[in-house]
Amino acid sequence: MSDTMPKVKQIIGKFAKNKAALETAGDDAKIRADLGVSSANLVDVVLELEEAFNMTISDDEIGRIATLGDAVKLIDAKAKAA
Amino acid sequence: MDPREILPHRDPFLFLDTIEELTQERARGTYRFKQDEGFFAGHFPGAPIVPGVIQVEAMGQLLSAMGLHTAKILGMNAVAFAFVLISECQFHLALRPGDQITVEAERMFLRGGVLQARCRVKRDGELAAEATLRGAKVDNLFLSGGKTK
Repeated sequence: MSDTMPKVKQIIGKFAKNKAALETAGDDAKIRADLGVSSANLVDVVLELEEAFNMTISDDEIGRIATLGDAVKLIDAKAKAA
Repeated sequence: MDPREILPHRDPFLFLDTIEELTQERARGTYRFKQDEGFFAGHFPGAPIVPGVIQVEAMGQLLSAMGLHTAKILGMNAVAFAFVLISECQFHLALRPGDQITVEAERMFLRGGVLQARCRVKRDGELAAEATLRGAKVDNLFLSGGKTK
């Protein structure tokens, strides 16, 4: 597991309704359907990820984040490219 | 402009008479509460006061207009911006039949089809209500299945 995943889980945990699922969630866990992050709060997750990882996530990139793994891969790729 | 040019809302649930300013960053509109608004009959008999939720709705409609205006400029597909969050909401004045309000919205962010703005209702320049509202763009009012995108 990359160092990114625990930080992503910590941030998502602030907005996830299904916190039990988050504890055992892997790359395939769907942020909205499995973890219970509402559409209203998805933008909060993105804003906190940007702050935590010191990066900007575009609207196109937001649209591609469906699972925990998607978020981790995106963040790691952007960090490597920076 | 006539709000019906941009909003899907119609009487008796349209709480903007005019939109005087509409940009991607801010918007301003007005509304005069008619003597015969349906909600005055029950809120309250003999002492009509505009319900707070109606003031929030007026702010939300202006937020939606700002979102739709922005969507048009950016080429985004949207027919409305649905409420998904109301926070830091306060009411300061009791509004009554005949009162004219000015509604203002100032964009905080637009990210991933989600627009958040700080909104205010004023009567004669005095703050009547304020809230932070968040709306998510809706592609189709009838096919969204209650889900916002």
